[in-house]
Amino acid sequence: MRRGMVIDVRKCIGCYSCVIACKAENSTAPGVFWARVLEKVEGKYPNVRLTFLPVLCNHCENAPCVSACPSGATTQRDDGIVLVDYEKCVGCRACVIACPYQARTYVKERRPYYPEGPTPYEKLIADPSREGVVEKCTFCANRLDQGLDPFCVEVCPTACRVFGDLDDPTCEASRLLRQRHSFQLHPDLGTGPSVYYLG
Amino acid sequence: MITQEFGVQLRPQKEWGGLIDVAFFLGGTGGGLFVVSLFIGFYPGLLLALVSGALACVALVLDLGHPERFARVLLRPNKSWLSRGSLFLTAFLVLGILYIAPSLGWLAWLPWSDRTVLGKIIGIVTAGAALGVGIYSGMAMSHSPSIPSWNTALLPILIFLYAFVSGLAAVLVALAVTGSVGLDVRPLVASEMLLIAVSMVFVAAHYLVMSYSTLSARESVRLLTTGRSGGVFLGGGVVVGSIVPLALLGYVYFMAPADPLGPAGLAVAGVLTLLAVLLLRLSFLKTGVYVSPA
Repeated sequence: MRRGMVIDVRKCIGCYSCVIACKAENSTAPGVFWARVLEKVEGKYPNVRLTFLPVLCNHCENAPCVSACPSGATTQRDDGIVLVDYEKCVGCRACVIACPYQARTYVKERRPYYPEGPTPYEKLIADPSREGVVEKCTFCANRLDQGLDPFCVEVCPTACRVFGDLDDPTCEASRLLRQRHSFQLHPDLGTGPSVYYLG
Repeated sequence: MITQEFGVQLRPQKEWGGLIDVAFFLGGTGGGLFVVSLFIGFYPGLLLALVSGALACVALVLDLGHPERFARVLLRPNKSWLSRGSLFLTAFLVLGILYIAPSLGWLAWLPWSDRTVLGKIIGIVTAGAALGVGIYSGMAMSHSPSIPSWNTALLPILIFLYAFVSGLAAVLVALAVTGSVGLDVRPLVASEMLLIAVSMVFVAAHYLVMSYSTLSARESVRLLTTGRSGGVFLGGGVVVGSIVPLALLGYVYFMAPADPLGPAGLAVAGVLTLLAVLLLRLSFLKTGVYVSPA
């Protein structure tokens, strides 16, 4: 099994639902985004087009972050998902530097969202193990283990994200990859991303 | 909402900064200093090398987000260069202390010395670990496909070379301070001049190649020359830290160390060179620019 995501760039409208949903689901600190949307303005006035490219951890087959990690905190599951064990991470940031997709963030300390202090919700989700460590997208592994899709997939209003087992030829993601032209980010680096884009 | 434009997003790394630079510098200097001191039989140099290595360890640990988990860094030498480097550093310190222990009066009963076979073996293995300490930081940096100006074959060699530049500079300072310039220091001075000159050529070649490489590599060169690290690199690293020491060492070499200004020249040149290596390594770290994420 190799879990992966297929993103149809032509369907993305830049609503940032995935970004917000990811923050809500994973309780990330201010300024920390596991899911991001990059923008690009193309063309010349008056024929201008805004293109969006949703990006996240690529859960690479040959992940540079896994080999850079000295503590064994970053590991790859059998289904290809790359995870960080916060209890094992020493906070050396070697994985952040090794990642060509800038998908990892070092969180030295979790600041509250508002100057008045943490909200009741922030107090509820407070997790001291997530300080002094590196974070990144988990493909919502906790949801996958319950048979659910990643939250960014579930909330996308245009259904531009499809998640599935890329080794299973019958799944929707594999079918799209067979039928449509697709590309990965930085294939030249040999990392083997599990996130594909339909152009 | 944070947005980034894709295709041209060039961002210098900020994850590794001053403290890890100090750790890499002290480790490299300690490694180079130990090997040179062992080679020329300069006992104070061995001690100083171990102190430098120990301080490198402290800086490395303090730089971690979780210093109390330091032991975990040693767990994956099969893959991670930080793990390998930490093991080299640990071996260097433990074996180095064992090597010099019999020289301390109250441990003279130990069954080895620098003249026995066992002592020589310990010394050679320690030197091997010291060489590992000298090169691992360069390997750890080059193990980053995300930063083209680091991800080259030349960078680890350059960093290795700098371990000897700073190690030899520390020897020269120690010789001057301890009043041991009576030794024939001319071969050491000549070696240091050669190492500084070769490292300058390597740096120039490395960044010249980078200047016609990828966009992020070219951005690294821009930051290093006309950008925010230009002053540190060109002013501190090249002029004050390389050209001035070369002139001073040239003076000492050609006027002979017996010249009254010889020891002072050696000390000043050594200190400036040490400062240069620290600043050059810092500027290499600060100008590591990521490839665009998309």
